[in-house]
This record gives sequence, C-alpha cells and structure tokens, in this order.
Amino acid sequence: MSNKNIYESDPSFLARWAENKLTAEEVQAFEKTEAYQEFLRIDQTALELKAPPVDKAAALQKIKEKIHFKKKVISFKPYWYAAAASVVVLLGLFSLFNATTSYTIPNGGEHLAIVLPDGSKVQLNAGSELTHKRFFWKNNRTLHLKGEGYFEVEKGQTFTVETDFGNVSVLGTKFNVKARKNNFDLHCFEGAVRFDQKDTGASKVLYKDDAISITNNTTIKEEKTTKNVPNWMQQISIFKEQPLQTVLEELSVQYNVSFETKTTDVTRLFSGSFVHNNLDIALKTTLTPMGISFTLSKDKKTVYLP
Amino acid sequence: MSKQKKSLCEEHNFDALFNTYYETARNYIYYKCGNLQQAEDIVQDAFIKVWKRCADVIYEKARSFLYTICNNALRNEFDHQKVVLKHEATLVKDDRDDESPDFILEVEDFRKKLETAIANLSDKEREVFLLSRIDKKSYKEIAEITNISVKAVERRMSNAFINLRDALGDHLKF
Repeated sequence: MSNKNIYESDPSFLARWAENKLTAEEVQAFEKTEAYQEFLRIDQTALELKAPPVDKAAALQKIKEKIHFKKKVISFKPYWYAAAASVVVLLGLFSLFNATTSYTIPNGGEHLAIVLPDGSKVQLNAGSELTHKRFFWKNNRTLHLKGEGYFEVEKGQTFTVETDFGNVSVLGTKFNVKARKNNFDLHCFEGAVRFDQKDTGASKVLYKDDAISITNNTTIKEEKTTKNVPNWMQQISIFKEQPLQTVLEELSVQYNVSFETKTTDVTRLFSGSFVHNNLDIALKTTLTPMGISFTLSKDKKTVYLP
Repeated sequence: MSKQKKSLCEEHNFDALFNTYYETARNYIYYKCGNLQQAEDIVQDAFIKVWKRCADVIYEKARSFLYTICNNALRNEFDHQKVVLKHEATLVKDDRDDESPDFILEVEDFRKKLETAIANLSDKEREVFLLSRIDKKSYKEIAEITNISVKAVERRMSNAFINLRDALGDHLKF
C-alpha cells in the first residue's frame, strides 16, 4: 500500500514520470497502481493538445510597422549626418570665434576715431591698421596694431595692444602707441601701461608722462612727455633728435608721398615738427633747416632728394 | 564568451530572437491569461520594448528580459477573466478509421473535460503543465521562463497531475 501514495509523497515523482525520468523499478511499481491508468490518460490527452495557431510572420510585420520610425534612429546612417552636421557647426563656430574686425587707414588718409565694444576709444593715425576679434572680444581685450593709435582704455580686464615690436598691456589708461616700420614710440598719458618687448623679452612699466621709443635697434630709450594728447592728434608731428629716415617715413604716412634719395644722409638727427595739412609747408619745415633741397613731382606723389 | 556579442539593434538578430521566442512567449502568456488577443498584444509590445532598448540588452539576456516584460505587463493589466483556454482540435489520427464513432465521441468528450480541468488549475500549475505538455519545454526551460527553480517547476507539474485527476474523477474511469 505504500506504493499507492508515492506520487503524492514525492513532489517530483509525477513530473519525472511525465519526462520519462523514473527508474525502471519506479515505473514498474507505478504501473501497478490504480491511478496509473488515469494519469496516463490525462497525460496522453494533454500531449495532443495544441496551442492556437501562431502567425509569426504577421506578428513580426505588425511589430515592425510600429517600430519602423525607431529603426531609422538606430541605423547607422544618421550618425553620418550628425557627424557631418557637427563638422559644419564646428567650422561655423570656429570661423565665428576667429572672425576679426579690422580698421585700415591708408597713407594720407584721415584719422579715425573708433569706439571698441567695451567702450574704449581709439584714435587711429594715417597709415595704420587695427585688428581685433569680432566676438567675445571683451573677455580678452587684445588688439593688433600696425601704425599709430591713441588709446583711452575703459577699466576692466587687461587690455593688450600687440605690435611687431612687442605688446603693450594696461588696465585702464590713456596712451599712444606708434609702431611704424622702423620705429616704435609709446607715450603714457594717464594711468600706467606695461610694455613687453618682443625680441628681448624686456618689460617696462610706464606711468603718467612716461614715454619710450625704439628706433631701428632694440634699445629702449626713455623719455618724458608733458602733453595731454599726442601731437599727431593736433595735426602735427614733433620729433626730437630722431633720424631723418623716421621723419621721412612719417611724412610718407601723413601725405602718402614717397621719397627718392641719392646721396642724402638719412641717419642725421632731426629735431622739429611738421603739420599734417599742408605738404609744402611740411616739407619746408623739415628739409630746409637740414639744408636739404627738394623737388616735388607734378602729381605730388614723389619727393626727389639729392 | 569570446565570441563577438550579437547586437539586437541589428535587424537579423532581432528577427532571430523573435522567431525563436515569440511563440513560446505568446503561449506562456496565453496559458496565464486565457485571452489570445491579449497575449499576442502583450508579447508584441514586449518585443517592441526589447527593440527600443536593443543597445542595452545583451542578446543572451534578451530572453529573460522578454519574459519579465511580459509577466509585468500581464500583472499590470486588469484582473483577467476566468481562464477559458481554447485548444486547436486534436489532429486526426491515422488509425482513427478503425475506431468506432462512440469511441471518437468519448475521446472528444474527455478532451473537452480535460481542457476545462486545466483551465480551472491555478495559474502557476497551468502554465507549467501546458508549457511542458503542449510546448514540450524541459523543466529547465520552464524554470527560466517562469523565473522559478526547477524543483518548483517539478512540484507544480506533479500537483497539476494530481489536481487534474481529482477534478476529472469519474470521467477517468472507463
């Protein structure tokens, strides 16, 4: 009688029987029980049952219709579009950040007054070029100057004027920078400026009324100025013991003329001034005291010197 | 493991997954809820979820992920009505011609009674019993699908037999 309940006492018995995992002895014993035939009938009938038919293809089709739009996002192509778009955007931003604003005044041109994005003011002399970044300039106030300019700097971040001779940096002040082909002049009219020379790395801090000049060589010459504004802004150029070459260069800039020299010694020093509004007077006031005669071409573009 | 992982984001891998598991998953949910339409909707939605997360799901783990989604979805639906399972008519056997019409009727009658008895089993016993008998899944596979141990599957299977015998009672006597 103990066999009768084996399928009840062993919780895995019927399960193992259904999977044909019983031992031969277990099967033999089980087949003798009353219940065996009944379980067998249940099992055989159950094994013939079928689940409702399935149409996999239709179901998959249905799913794909729903996820079709997702597929595009996941497929690889859009990454290429995204990459291409990113490159375009980056290039755009790159050129945006690097876009520059530049002011150019030709030789013989008018002076130009510029108000920079931060409110600082610049007066540009003739024959000068000033360049700065167009965007986010306020975060890094750097200008590039070729020629001469007078600066009134608003207080704020460091304000730097880059020239071929070196950089002039300030916090808020008024100063004049002259960075011509062969000579450099820096006059500080208010506050303080710092000059870092390009070639020697020398640096110099200028306070009110200080001035420095560099001519041809790299030696920094210190001077004093007593003026409130640069001479050139009053339509006059003043020289103090400057080589004639420097004077002639300035004349070329202000009047857009060129000089042709033969035997004239252009290294002689000149002290004096010339006005910006009359070429004849300017030439006379500079060359006559030096004992140099000159001839002006008809188109007033060339000055012939001996 | 050294093999390159199959990405479910690739359509052919997804299709393979679908073809391998759709039917079992659908039947499993059908055995639980007894509503074929509901079962198909749940399983199809589950596949869409797998697709949406194709980047996160490893191919090898997708099967259990799929069954989990199906289970949760079914649990979230309203209490399903009393299970009424409909099974496809038993295939006509070749030797059926030899049997008397009475016997055929008897067999047909018994099959219907068995279906009713199966429908009245607890969900846990029914899903195990039918996955084994209809889908011919091993206990190990059923354990994976239902997320229980093999021992538990065997216990449910045995109990299903005992409960079916009890339910059918006299109908089992010839």
